[in-house]
Amino acid sequence: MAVKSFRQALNEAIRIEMQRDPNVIVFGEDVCGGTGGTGEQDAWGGAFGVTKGLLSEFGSDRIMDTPITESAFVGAAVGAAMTGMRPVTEIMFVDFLGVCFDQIFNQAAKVRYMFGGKATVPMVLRASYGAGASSASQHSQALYPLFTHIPGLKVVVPSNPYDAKGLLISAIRDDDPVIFLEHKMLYDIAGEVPDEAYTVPFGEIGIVREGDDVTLISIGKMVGVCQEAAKSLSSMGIEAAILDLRTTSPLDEDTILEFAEETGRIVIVDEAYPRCGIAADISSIIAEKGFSSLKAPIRKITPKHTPVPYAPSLEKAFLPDTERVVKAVVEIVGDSL
Amino acid sequence: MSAKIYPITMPKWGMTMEEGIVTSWLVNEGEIVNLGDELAEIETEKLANVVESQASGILMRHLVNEGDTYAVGSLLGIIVDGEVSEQEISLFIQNFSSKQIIEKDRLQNANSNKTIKVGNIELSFLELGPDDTETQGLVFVHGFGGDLSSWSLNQTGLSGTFRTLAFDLPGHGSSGLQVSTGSVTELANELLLAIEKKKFEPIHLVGHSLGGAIALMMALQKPEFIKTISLICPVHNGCNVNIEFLDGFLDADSRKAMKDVLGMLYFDTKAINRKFIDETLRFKRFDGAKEALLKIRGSNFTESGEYTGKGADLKDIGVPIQIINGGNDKIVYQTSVNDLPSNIEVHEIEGTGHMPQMEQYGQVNDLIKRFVINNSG
Repeated sequence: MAVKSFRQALNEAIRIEMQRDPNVIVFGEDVCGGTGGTGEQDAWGGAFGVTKGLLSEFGSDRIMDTPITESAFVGAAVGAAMTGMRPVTEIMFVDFLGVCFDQIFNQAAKVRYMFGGKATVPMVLRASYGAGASSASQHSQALYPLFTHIPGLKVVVPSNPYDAKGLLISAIRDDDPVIFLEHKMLYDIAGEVPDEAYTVPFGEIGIVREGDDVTLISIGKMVGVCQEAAKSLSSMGIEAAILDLRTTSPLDEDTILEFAEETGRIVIVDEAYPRCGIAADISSIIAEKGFSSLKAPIRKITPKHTPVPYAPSLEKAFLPDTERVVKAVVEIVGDSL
Repeated sequence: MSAKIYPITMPKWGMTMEEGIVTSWLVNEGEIVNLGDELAEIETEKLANVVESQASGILMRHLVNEGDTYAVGSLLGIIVDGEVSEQEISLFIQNFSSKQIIEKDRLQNANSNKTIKVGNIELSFLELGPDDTETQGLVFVHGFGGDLSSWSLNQTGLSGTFRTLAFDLPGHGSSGLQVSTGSVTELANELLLAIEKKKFEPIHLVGHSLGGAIALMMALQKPEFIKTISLICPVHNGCNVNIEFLDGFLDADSRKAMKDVLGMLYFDTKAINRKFIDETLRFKRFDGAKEALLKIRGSNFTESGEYTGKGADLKDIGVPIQIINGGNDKIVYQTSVNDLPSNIEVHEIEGTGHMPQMEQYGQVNDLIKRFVINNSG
């Protein structure tokens, strides 16, 4: 099987869906690159190069650059979707979605419900998220909990190239609005990705690793952190299962509770802020529905409740890392093995 | 007879197996073992099974601990036949490591799937065993919804004696999904073309489930190619297939649903683990995979699961046939033995469901081996 980068996997998903369905269109800031200016056509492919090459293949009727007004073009995506198009809209940083909360929270998320299913909003909002590039507080947040909070939105956060392609194809084919978040430190990671079209469904956790002693529940870039931690733990005689949420809405509660029952120990590793976050949400689900399975308190590994720092040393301290995961696991496993 | 030292090694069950866990030793150090005895339980990502002894003698050493993981080809223990000194055993163990690496390389090279193009479709196949045309050739044909890895335990087990070739059927595994009608005739013809292109004939066929019907059709089309047919839980004229499985497999889109469906295949449902379920679902989620399976289902079975494919009448086939059935097969409802032509050998294997070639692979391999050798005169 061919080895491709996360970025290539996403590009392939959009390309395949644009070939399959003429209603799929793409717009966002610099997704073509250089149009309207003096720059080279199709040079840039968006801030992270994901849409590069699509302009040459599909032409300017199907992929276009927008002005720097997220509120306007996200609103346009909602309208286009309601008329039957399938817009895939790129926002450079999820942090910028703050200026179009009404379009997302009150329009996109509510249309199908408030019109009794007579209108749907099959749109995908792609954005980068996450810390690690020293991009400072306004370009580094992991804001998926905000969108998970809103009924009517689906929220996808892939951790690897195979899933990225399959989940983005599922997102484009989905009839509901999907927030699709890509960790900016993952674009260059590589993995096996088939050339063909395939789907990865929403609401099905990825089982990354099996293990009897503890379950690490994670998402996006944190899955890799857990994989590193599991290796260290294994050398200490502790076998950790790793679950990759893949989508926070819908959420695969069944698999979470199944592993809570099997391992009895849970460590949730999340890059989002700790208050009202995914880790807190999952922790409460297990406490309510799986309490009797637990052999130890649930542990949450998240950043502190602070803005993402700019200084690289502070940013490193902010992010959950392998060391913190290993330490937490050792604490709850203790001498009980 | 001079004394001999035999290694017990981590087996390779299937293409993707790289390591296994020795869950427990079944024979203590110092105990006598015979050829074929169960020595240790091994668990892999996909299945749990036992290592059978390749020699008779005394199990002298356990070289690995229960619960630990070892790479394919690793030395797990030593069997000694006759008087052997401690020194000789130590020397054997020392020398083994280098051989082991070579063996691992050989397996890795042999085990990469290849493809062959027939008509407009790429068929994926795995070829194992000697590379000389003097040796008898075995071709394995899997069933509906399966892939060539259904034969992993048989292909590895029999490739010491025979040339072996297993295909992914059109619409299955890593083969192309371009199925035209999906009829058994179409599938049989594509396999025959591939075998001819590879110059692998004449062959002994081993067909499982719907692969049995395909094997019979192949024999009907090209009797000169086929020397014997071993059918495992086969579909043939007059058979009914459990539609809870057939349609359940097509519909299953969640782990839970797929677990229930795959569970019907085995006597002991513990054989189904999450990895197996995930890989099955992953295949079904390729664009066109379900459509290809639907065509095959529609072309060969009525709504109630009766087999309607042509040319799979056991009476019409001139070559020797044996049938190996699972004692608790919940998928194919076989015709009563009395209704079969009297020259067909029928074996039933206790403690197996629809997958005896995996559940009791040792017994099935022995039956295939004996049947092929007896009819190769």
